[in-house]
Amino acid sequence: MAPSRPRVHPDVLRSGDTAAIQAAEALVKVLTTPHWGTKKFKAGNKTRQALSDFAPFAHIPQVKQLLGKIQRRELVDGFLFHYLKRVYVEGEALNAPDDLNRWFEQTLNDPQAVLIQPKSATSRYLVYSSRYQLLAVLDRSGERVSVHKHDGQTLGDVWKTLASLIL
Amino acid sequence: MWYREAVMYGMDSWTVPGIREQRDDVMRSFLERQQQALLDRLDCRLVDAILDLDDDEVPDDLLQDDPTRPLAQWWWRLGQIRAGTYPAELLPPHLRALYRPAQRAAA
Repeated sequence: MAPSRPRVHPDVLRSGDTAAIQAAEALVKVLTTPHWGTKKFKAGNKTRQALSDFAPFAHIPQVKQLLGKIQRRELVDGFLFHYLKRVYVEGEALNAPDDLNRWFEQTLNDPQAVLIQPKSATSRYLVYSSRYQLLAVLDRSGERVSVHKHDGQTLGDVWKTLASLIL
Repeated sequence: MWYREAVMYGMDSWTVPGIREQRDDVMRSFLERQQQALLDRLDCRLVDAILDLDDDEVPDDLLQDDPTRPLAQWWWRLGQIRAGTYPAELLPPHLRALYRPAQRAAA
């Protein structure tokens, strides 16, 4: 039997808690639509760092294209940027870009994963899975922003478990 | 190393909860020469990003200094570092080299 499509937990819908409903809807979207946001590099120290990080790999066509976009201040695919950084700059053994999506989905499919209390009504959502020791960051629009390893310390207060928000 | 993940990947979106505590953990570890070189590189990235006054996405809580921590633990004084009011002589040389020009420019 095919796994059921994620959906907002009916108790959340019944609760009328707007903040929780919005969070649950973003989680459902981020799970069903693996879309990563884009990133625009402004002139600045982090942009200089990125250009310098990738410079030794400029002979690789994907990296060359990325560097061109950063230099022209065009939108950069956040997913590709993250993947190329792990593989070339940090020399990690990711097999394919999809490994990052797998990390993201592992985190969000862990029923014990928790949503951290957002700092404001516009802050991004942080989801932490202690099972996988991964921190997934998503926009309120339901776009994937980042996923990276985290020890789980000092993340902030737990707001909800994922199991209480989505099925 | 958790600190490495935070600096290399969390900082891209300035999602760095617990980064100062992670730096504390590193301080308590024994590092081989190669690990120390990596740590120096990570520290430089963090300080360099903090010193960029045009970057308005640096989280406010990261810039809230903790006066209960020893002054030499610069990672608890990122607000002072950004403002150019941290005593440069307390920074290790590789960070001082980044900080002094920025401090002069901010003066």
